[in-house]
Amino acid sequence: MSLAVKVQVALNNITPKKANAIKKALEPDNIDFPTNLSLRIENVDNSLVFYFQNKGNLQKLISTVDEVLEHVQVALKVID
Amino acid sequence: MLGLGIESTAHTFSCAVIEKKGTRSKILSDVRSIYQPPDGQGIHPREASRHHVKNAAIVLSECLQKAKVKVNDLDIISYAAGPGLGPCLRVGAVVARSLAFYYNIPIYPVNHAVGHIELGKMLTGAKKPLLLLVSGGHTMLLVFSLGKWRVFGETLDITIGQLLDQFGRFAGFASPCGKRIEELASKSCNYIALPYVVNGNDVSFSGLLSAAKLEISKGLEDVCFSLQETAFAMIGEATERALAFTREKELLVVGGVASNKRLAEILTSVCKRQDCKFFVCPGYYAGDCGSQISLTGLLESSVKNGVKIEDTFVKQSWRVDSVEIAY
Repeated sequence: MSLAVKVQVALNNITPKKANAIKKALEPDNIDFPTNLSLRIENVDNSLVFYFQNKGNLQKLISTVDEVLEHVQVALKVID
Repeated sequence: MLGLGIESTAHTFSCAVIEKKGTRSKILSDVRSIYQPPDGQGIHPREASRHHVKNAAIVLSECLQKAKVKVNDLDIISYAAGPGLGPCLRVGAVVARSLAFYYNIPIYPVNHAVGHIELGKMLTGAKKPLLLLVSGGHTMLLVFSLGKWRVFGETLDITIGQLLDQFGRFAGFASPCGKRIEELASKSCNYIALPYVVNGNDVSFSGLLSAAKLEISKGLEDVCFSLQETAFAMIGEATERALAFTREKELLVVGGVASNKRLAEILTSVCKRQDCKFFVCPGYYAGDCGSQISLTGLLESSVKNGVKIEDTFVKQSWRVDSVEIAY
């Protein structure tokens, strides 16, 4: 039996312009994901929400969440 | 026109601002932060990318301050889209896209190797050279023809930079190891026979690396000397054959290994025999830097519009001979 996991990360109280910049900056690299791992990014009200879904190898999910959050951090730092 | 260039293909995170007026370009700033792996170890892609994440905003801010410009003053932003290490490339791309979208500035993905070439041409004044690109990522002889840099010869396995770094790490040096090897080599003139492999215009370094590692007990200075002499003689032979065949009258050397003085000596004598002018990219700009990316982006912007953010990309294996040069 393989473990199915969903992770949701929300950046709250972010301006729509910043949220959009982060989404646009990250989405082009959202390709060639390993099988059974996916990421969707959505603007919801004043939040930017990242939906990760994974089945099987948890390490891939952990590494992906880690890298995506680093990219969010660097994007926010350079536009501020 | 003001262009910001972002380089992040491997161990270096760098930002540079170049001002281009007509055909003249001036580097206003070039700031770098270099990931330093522990002694005896190579670049770990994720560790290098973490270094880039940590330092990107600091490097960018210092770069803009030194150039005395604000983000809003920039006309274009370019970033190294490949070839390189995936996690490192993605950091540079994210920085470039964030700025480009937030401040509504055109964005240009740039080939890192083309960047080395264009910056070398600008800084040396070489017009139509045979190009020798020697670095951690490349060992190539290139000739420009019909809108592309064509590969005239290249390594069949590891690059010259990998040869020096892998040998140096085996000896316990800190990466990048070229300078330390050059320093030790200069203290010896005792040559130990090592495998010399030139196949047509191509070279092969993997057998040389294995043999050099086996000889290390005979004395580090002698092995460093012999390693450099063998590898650079191989490059010299391939370069001389390429010059004789193409009859190009200029040779330009770019890439991190271009700053090696012994390589320059060998190539100087090659150029003398072939009645050819010898150009070498100045040491500070020979290795990876934002200037190479900024300049190439500015050159591209003279003939085409920026890329839509959603069409920007990173390509770990983006060969220089697949890039159309329209400017």
